[in-house]
Formats: sequence, structure tokens, C-alpha cells
Amino acid sequence: MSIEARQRWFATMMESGLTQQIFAPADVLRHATPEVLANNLPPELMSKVLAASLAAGAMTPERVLETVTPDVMSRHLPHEVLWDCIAAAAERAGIAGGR
Amino acid sequence: MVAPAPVAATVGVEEFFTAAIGRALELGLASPEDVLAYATPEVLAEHLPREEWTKLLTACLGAPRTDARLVVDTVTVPVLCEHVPFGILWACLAKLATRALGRGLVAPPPSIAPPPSIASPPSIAPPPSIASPPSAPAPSVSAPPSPSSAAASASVTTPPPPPAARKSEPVSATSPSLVAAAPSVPEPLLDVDQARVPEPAPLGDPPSPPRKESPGATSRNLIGARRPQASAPAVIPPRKADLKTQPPQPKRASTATDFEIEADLGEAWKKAGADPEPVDDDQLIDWSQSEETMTSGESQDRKR
Repeated sequence: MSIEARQRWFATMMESGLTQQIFAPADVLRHATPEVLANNLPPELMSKVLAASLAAGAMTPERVLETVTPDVMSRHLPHEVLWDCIAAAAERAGIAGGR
Repeated sequence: MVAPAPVAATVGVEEFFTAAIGRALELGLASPEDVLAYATPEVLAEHLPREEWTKLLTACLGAPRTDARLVVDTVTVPVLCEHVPFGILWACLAKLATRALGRGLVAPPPSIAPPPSIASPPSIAPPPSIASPPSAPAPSVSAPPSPSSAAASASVTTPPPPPAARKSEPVSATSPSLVAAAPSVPEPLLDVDQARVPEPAPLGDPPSPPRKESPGATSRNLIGARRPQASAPAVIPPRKADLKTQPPQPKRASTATDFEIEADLGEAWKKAGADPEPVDDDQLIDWSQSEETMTSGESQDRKR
């Protein structure tokens, strides 16, 4: 219950953060570094990311997040990394901290 | 520390908090009490509009009981996120995330910690049995994020460790019970072995002579003294001797077949005693000539 719920919760927060432009795909990849992705994503997802990038001719953060969706991130990436991304965005936006 | 992302619009932040906190409530990761711990009545009084207060007061007056759930359900999360300062909402969200992450991070360590403390009393068996179960959950969360997420986890988990440590205590309390069970297992095993030992003892008296017949296999006698004792052939020779003097009746339990054999023998004796005259010398000579048959089958002929 707790793990699955936490996954859903982080998926919601990541999706909402991206939708509301609290953070951008580039901000996500600043925390979900290639090392983090390589160490946590399953091979089939890595293959999809590479295939999509090869087909488009470039690997951009936006294109990576087309495959590594918030749901995928919440399932495979450490939640600490995701929360670090959210917290950093909140700090940049000035909503973290005082009133 | 650069801020490439555009500063979020107020509406976007509100919706983000609404989604984050609302989803946490839906998933059971947060409770209305958690929300009201930050959106206190003072905060609500300061920031909620009169219209919302009217609704809230009406609902509270009409409800048999006023609690945090009633307040949150009445005001609703979107309205809270619309009027409550982001800093307060963020503090609430950060605590929820800290607690959620703290569960995953702190759970493995407590399970690992107890083994050493427990391992000291029972030095041999407990450590392996305990080390295996806790090791499984730990890597799922803590192992992968270690490189890059270490800083993040530190920044997030440092404030809330107390609750996590409390949760770890019950885990450690359960593990000792497992350890205590482990040492208790070998004891009954010893009892079983001891219980097996006395059983062969009564059988040991008769078979002891046949062991002397094979002195070369001393190791076998030392290792498995029970097996030779239980072996039937070792007991057979003394029984043959007993057959000459006495019938083996006392050792065997009387059965229907035994009675039949005895009855047959009795009749043979009666028949032999009834015909003393017909015995001739020719017949005696025939019996004496076949010595081999006499040596090998004396008992059989007598029985017959």
C-alpha cells in the first residue's frame, strides 16, 4: 500500500509540476542524471529512449520525458531524486520557505 | 543554482499544491490532521474569505462532530491551496514527502541494526537467518539512489528522522523474536537424537557377539552401533542354538501361524511314535549316508 501509493503520489506531483511549469524537463534531467537513469531504468526503457532519440536525430530532455513519463519515473527512479527535483523547483519559485 | 525554468505562475503553483496534497489525501499518505497542522485555525482565519468561513461554520454546526476531516472536506483542498500561503502549503507538502521518504529510507536500517546486538548472545545461528530478510527491502530504495540522491536524501530526511526511528524500533523488536526462535530449534533436535539412543539399547544385548565376528570394521561399529544391532541375521545364530534346546517362543509373539506349525510338529511326533515297528535298517542307512543334508538341514528335517 505505502509503496504503491507513494509511487502514485510522486507521479502526480511530477506530472503536475511539469504541467504547471513549476519545473521543466531539463530540470528533471538535472536531477535524474544519465547515471541515475542508466542505473535505474530497465533495459527496455533505455532502448526506447535511445530509439526515439535516434529517430528524431537528437536526444533532448523533452524527448526523454516522452518515454520516461512521470509514471515511469515514479516507478523506477528513486523518489529522493524526484523530490529533490520538486524541492529545487519550489526553492527557485520562492514557494519553499517563509510565507 | 541557475533558474532556467520560468517562475511558476500563481495558478500553476496552486494547482500543483492542489494535486499534490489532494492526491496525498486520496492515497492515504496524508490525513486531514496533517493539513490542519499547518493550515491551522489561525491561518484559516487570516486567509480564508468570509464566504468559506460561513460554509465551514454552517457545516460544523450541523455536524454531530467537528474534526479535521470535516474542515478539509468542507473547505476543500483546492480552496485551501487557493488562499493559504504557498510557504505553509509547501511546509505541509515537505513534511508529507519527508515522512513518505523516511519510511522507505529508515525501514531497512533498523532491520539491519538489530542483528549485531542480537548476534552477540547467540554467536552462531542467528546472524545469517536475520541478515537475509532485512537485506532484501533495503536495496530497493536505498541502494540505487545512493550516488546522486545521497544529498537529496540527506536534505530531506534530516528533519524527520525521529518518527522513522520510532518505526524502526518495532521492527527490531520483531527480529529478536525470530532470533530467539532460531536457537530454540536445535534443542529439540538434540532431544530427538537422545530419544533414538535408548531405543537400540535393548537390542544391543543379543547382537553384540556378531560384531566381534567383523573386528575390521571398527569404524562402522563406532558410527552406527544401532544398525548392526537391528540387523536380523546377527540375531539368527543364537536363535538356532536356542532352537536345539528350547523353542523360540518367548521372543516371538504368539501368532496363528506359529500355532499351526507347532500343531504340525506335534502330529508328526505322534505319527512317528505311533509307528515304532515299521522302522528298518535300510531306512536308517539312507538317512546316515546323506551327511550334507543332515548338516545343512537338520532343523528343517526335524521341523518337517
